[in-house]
Amino acid sequence: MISGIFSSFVVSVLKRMPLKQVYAHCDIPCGIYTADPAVVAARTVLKMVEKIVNPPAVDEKNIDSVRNFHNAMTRYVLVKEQHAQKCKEELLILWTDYFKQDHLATFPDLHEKFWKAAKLCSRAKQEVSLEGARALLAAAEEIAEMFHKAARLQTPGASATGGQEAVKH
Amino acid sequence: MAPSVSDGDVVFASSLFHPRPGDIAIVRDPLDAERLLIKRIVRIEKENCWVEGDNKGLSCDSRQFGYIPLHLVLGRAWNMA
Repeated sequence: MISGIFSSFVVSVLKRMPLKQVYAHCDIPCGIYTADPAVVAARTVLKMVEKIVNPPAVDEKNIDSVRNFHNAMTRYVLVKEQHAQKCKEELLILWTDYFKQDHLATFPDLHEKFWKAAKLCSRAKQEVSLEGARALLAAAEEIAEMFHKAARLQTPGASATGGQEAVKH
Repeated sequence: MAPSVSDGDVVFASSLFHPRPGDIAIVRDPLDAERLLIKRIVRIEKENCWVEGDNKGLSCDSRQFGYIPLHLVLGRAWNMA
């Protein structure tokens, strides 16, 4: 606990100093894209919703049991929120950076698919809905399939590896 | 570099500590000298090193730009988060 407080103090002091920004990820220079993070995030959302609708047993007369129940439920909601947001961010990267105007000839409903998927990400945060979470996963997987198909068209003879593909664009 | 380093994290780096394979290091972008990158040292061969990001799917690193000269490695880094 003391080391945590000390660490927080050090970080707060450092943040007041002139800091240099360093980058872990670059997008445009190398253009490496993958649909995996969006699909994994959508799967995580569904898993969290399943856990919320099937909550752990709680003994309301036992204060520790009640605390652990609330802790678990809070964490499920937190992770659902985080991964719905991550799914949206990953989809937006594919939509805005990977797919180009030319892709509309092959995928005429591309924009609508991404728009609906983004809406489902928001709905997943606002609601506890198995139907909504399943719809989000289906939408993310559909976009991943579009992405893999576009990659195969870009690189004739290449085969999609079912979710393990990273495409250089 | 997720989950080792995330957006907003503060890292401390020092040129006093020479990074070894497995360490996180600050390196100058070989494609843009004005830009600093944070990557993990994978191996060092003579005067060059191979760096990769921990978040493999989203990292631009030696897999794209190859070995980088050791003089571009500015120092070992520690995540203060």
